[in-house]
Amino acid sequence: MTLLRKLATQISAAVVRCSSAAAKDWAAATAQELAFIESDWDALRWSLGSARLLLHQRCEVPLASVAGVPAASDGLFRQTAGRARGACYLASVMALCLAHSLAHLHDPVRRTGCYILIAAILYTVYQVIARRGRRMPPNADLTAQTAHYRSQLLDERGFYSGPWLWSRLILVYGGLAVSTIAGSIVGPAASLHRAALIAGSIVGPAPLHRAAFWMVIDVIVLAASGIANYRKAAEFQRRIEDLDSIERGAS
Amino acid sequence: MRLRRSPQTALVLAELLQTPREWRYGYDLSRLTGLKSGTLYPILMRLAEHRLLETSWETPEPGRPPRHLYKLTSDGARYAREQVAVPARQHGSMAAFSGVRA
Repeated sequence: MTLLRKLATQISAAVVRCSSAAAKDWAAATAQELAFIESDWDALRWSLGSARLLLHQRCEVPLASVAGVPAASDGLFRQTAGRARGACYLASVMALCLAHSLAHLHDPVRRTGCYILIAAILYTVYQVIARRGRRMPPNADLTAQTAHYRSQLLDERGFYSGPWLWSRLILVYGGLAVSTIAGSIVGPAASLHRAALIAGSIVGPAPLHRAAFWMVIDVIVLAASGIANYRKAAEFQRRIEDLDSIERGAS
Repeated sequence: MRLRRSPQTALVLAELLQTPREWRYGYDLSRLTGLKSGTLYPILMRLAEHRLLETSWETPEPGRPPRHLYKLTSDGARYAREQVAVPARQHGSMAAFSGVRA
């Protein structure tokens, strides 16, 4: 067996090991196909592609009938509760890192950026906790359960789109832009650079280059998070439409 | 139930529709559609989740690992015919719009 083939086999085995229960059979299916791929490079490409199945962990099985609403609602409740816990842990770590940066930063522009980022983190945590979902009321009939599930889905769609999303993004990227782009232009390093330029000891607009670099990075991060949120909102919209069509079919 | 429409999904459905009653292998579908495993398998998973695709494992034979098999369900075949017909209709209207005769 060649090195490439061994690598492909190892990657496929790792994908099978790390897959969720729902995706394990599929990961095993891609791994079994390796034996039928003649070219080693094709086998490696195949195994690398199969790693995408790891992203399928959180895929929801679509609702087949109204009878599946209680289980779907409970699943969504647990998912939002888990997200709230994760966000709290992550926010704690990020807040500690930012507090550490604040202790060492003397540049007022970057400090302002850090304060905005801390506010953004706190605001995001508030949003996540406020939208963590509610458990199904006990002894609710199927109509009430369906209405509850619909309100959960609408809440989730709202979390990933509209004012909730934009207020979050504006605060986070406002903080990022101030600490990175503005910090590069008006920070102490930029002042030193300007002084050196005036003295004639260096040539070229380095702070502007740094600012342009950070602007590109910030725009890429903003676009990626906007797209990810839009896709989540679209997923919940699909689930709402599925529920609508199931209800229409049942009535 | 709705399934995300994409050109890649339409490709897979069209390929499965070539022989709707026969079991197909994942790698063969990948070669015939030109889709990579990372694109093909999520599509197959979604089709199976929507009960449009039937899956099965081959009976193991000595010296040959069992392979996963795929076939459209009757709902899947109906859905595939609808989906494959849509681009054809769109193509027809585009041709009519541009004055090209099919």
